[in-house]
Amino acid sequence: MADLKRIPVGPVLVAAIVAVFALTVALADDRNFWVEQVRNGLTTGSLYALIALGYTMVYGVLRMINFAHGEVFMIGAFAGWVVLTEVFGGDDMATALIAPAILVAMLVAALASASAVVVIERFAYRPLRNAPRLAPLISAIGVSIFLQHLFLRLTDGRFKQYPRIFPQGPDESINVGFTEIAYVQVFLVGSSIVLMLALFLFVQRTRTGTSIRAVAEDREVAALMGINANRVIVITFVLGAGLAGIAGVMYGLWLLNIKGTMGFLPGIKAFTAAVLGGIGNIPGAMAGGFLIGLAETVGREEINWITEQFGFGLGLGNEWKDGVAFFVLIGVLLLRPSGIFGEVVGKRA
Amino acid sequence: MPQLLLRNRWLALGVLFAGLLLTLAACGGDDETDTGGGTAAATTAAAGGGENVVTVAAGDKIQVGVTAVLSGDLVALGTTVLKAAELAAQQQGDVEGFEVEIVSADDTCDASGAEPAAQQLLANENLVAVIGSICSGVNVTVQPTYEEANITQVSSGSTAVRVTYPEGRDPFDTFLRTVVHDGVQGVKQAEYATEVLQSTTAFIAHDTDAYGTGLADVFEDEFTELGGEVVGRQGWEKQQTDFSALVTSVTTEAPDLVYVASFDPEAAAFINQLRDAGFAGDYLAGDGVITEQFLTLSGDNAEGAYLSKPAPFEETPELLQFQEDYLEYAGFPWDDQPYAAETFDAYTAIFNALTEVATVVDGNLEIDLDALNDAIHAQDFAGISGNIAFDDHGDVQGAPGKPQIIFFKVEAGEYVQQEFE
Repeated sequence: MADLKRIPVGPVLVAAIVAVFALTVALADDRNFWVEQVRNGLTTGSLYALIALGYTMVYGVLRMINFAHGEVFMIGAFAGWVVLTEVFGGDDMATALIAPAILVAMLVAALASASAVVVIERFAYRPLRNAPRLAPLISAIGVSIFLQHLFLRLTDGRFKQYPRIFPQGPDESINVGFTEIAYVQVFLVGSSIVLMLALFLFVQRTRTGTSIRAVAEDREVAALMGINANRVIVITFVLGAGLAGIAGVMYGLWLLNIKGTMGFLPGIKAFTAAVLGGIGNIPGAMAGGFLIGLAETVGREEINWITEQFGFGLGLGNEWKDGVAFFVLIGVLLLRPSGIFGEVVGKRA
Repeated sequence: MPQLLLRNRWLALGVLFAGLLLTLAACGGDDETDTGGGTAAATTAAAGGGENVVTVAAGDKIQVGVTAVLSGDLVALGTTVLKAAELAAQQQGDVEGFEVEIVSADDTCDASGAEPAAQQLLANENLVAVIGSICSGVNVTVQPTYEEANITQVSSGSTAVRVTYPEGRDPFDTFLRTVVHDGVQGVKQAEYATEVLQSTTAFIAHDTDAYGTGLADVFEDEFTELGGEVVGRQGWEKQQTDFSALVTSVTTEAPDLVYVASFDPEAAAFINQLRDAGFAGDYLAGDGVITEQFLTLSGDNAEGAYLSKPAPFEETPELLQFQEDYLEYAGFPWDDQPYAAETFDAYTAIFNALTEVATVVDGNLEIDLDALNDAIHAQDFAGISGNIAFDDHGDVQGAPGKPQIIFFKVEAGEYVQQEFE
C-alpha cells in the first residue's frame, strides 16, 4: 500500500473540487449565479495570491512568517493614493492621464512597499536572524501593530478615498456571453496573473532567481558557494513587498476606501493561502490564493447547494465566508499537513 | 502505516465535518432556556392568588411598586428611576382622596434577584401596578409572575426587543413600556418600506453583532407581517470590505429593497459595490449608518438611499420644569443616568388609569385590576419623554406630528428629511 503515498494529492484534490463544481453548474437552476460567484472568487483570490507570494518567498529563504506583510500591502495602497490624488489630481484627472497615472502609482507603491520592507528587515528582523525562531515572529507582529497604528494616527483613524478613475458601474463591464465581468475585475485578475508569471519566470530563469532558490535550499551551503545570503534575503523581501504594494493599489482602485487597518484581514487570508498551497512553494501560493478566494464565495454556496440536495440546506450566508475559508484550510491540512502542493522551494534532504 | 495514517486523516476530517454540522444544528435550535425559569416561577406565584379587585380600606394607601436595581454597581441607575417615581407620586397627588405610596424592591438587575423582588412587591396588599424593571433580564424572568398575579408592569428602561416580542407566545398583556425599545426603528423601517417605498420583496444584510442582528430580526418580522417577502438574509463581520459574493446573491434575487442593519463603513462599501453591479432597487438603513462618513465613503452611489434615526427628546416646558424639580427633589440631575423622564411618564400612565377606574364603595377604594390594565393600555397623552400611547405589544408609540423615528433620503449629497408618521 506504499503506493498511496505516491498519489499526487494536490492535483487529485483540485480535480475533485472542479468536478463537484462542474456537477453543480450542470444541475443548478441559476447558472449565471454560479458563474458570477466564480468571477468574484477569482477577483478576490487574485489579490490574496499576490499578497501570499510575499509570505511564501520569505518563508522559503528564512523559515520565517513576516506578519507585517499585510501592512506592507497597506503602505503600497497609501503610496498609490498619494500619487493619484496629489500628483495626478484625483477625481479631476484627464482621461488620457488615467492609464499612465495607474502605472506610475503602481510603480511608486511597489517602491514604497519595498523600501518599507528593507527598513523593517534591517532593523526588526536581521538582528534576530540567529535568535530563537519565535523572536522574529514576535518582532514581526510588533511591526505589524506599530504600522497599523502609525497609519491610523497619520490619517486620524479615517478612511481615505481613491479617486474613482477606474471605470466602475453598471455598464462598465465586458459581456462574455453568459455573464458580465466588470473592467476592474478583468484588470485585477489579468494584471495579477501577469505579475505572477513574471515572478515565476524570474525565480526560475535568472541568476538572481537561482540564488534565491539556492538560499532557500540551504542558506549556509549557498553562502559557501559564494552567494551573498543577506543580499538574496533582501531581494526576496523586496520582490514580495513590490507585489504586495501593487496589490495595494489594485485594492484601492477596486474597493476605493483605504485605512490603516486594511491590511490585517487580507494579510491573514493571504497567509492562509500560502499555507494552503504549501508554504515556501511559489505556484502553491498562487493556487492557494485563488482557492481561498473561491472557497469563501463558491465554496460556501457549494456547501449550501449540496446540503440542500440532501434536504437540510444549511443556508450559510456571507457571514460564514471566513469560517468556510478556514474550514477548508483545516480540512486540507489534516489530509496534507504540508499544503496542497507541498513545500518545494525549501525542501531539505 | 501510510494507509493507517491516511485513514486517520479521513477520520479526522469526518469528525471535523460532523462537528460543524452539530454546531450549526445547535445554533438553529430554539432558544427556550431563557424562559424556563420564568415558567417555574409562575407556578409558585399562582398560589398567591391573582384576585381581580384590590380593595383599599379607608385610611390606607394605594401602592405602586418600583422594581429596580438598588444595590451594586448599577445602583445609580436604579436610584434615578426610584426618585423619578417618588417625585411623580408626590406631584400628582391623590386618587379619590386615597394617597399613593411608592413601594420599592431591589431586583439587582439580575435574573436571580428578579423573582424575590417580585414576591416582595406582590406581598403588599394594596399593590395595583409596578414600574420597572429597567433590566430586560429581570423582566423576562418575572413577566409570568406578574401575569399570574394580574399586576400590570410599566417598564421605563427595558429596551431589549424580546421583552415585548417573547419567543413562542403572545406578548404579555400585563407588560408595557414607556421607553423606545431597540427595535422600534426596525418596525418603523418595515412600515416605511411597505407604505412609502412600496417594496414587496426585501433582501436583508446586517452586521452580525447584537445591534445589527437585533435590528434585522425586528425588520424581518415586521416586514413579513406587513405582507412583504424576505428573499434573502445574510450577515457580515465588521471590517469586511469585499462584498462581491453578497452583491451577486442580491442581484440574483433582484429584490425591491435592500435593507441594511449595520454601521457606516461596511454599509458604504456595500452600497458602492451594489450600485456598481447595477442594482437599481431601494436601499434602506438605520441610525448606525446615517453619518457624514457614509456620504464621503459612498459618494454618488449613496444618492437615493433612505436612512432613519430616532427622534431626539423635545425640550418642552414640561421637560424643563421636570429637570428643575428633579434636581431639587433628588439632589442630582435627571439626566446623569437614563430613564428618569420615561419613569415619570410610566407613573403618569398608571396614575391616569387609576383615576379613571378607581371607584369608592362604602368608603373603601375598589380598583378592578383588569379595568386598570385596559385603562393603562388605552392611555394617550403627551409625556415629558414624548408621546405616551401603547401598541399591541405594549410598546410606546409615536403620535401624529411626533414620530419616534425620522427618515431621510440622500439627495445631492445631503440628508433630506422625509415626511413620515
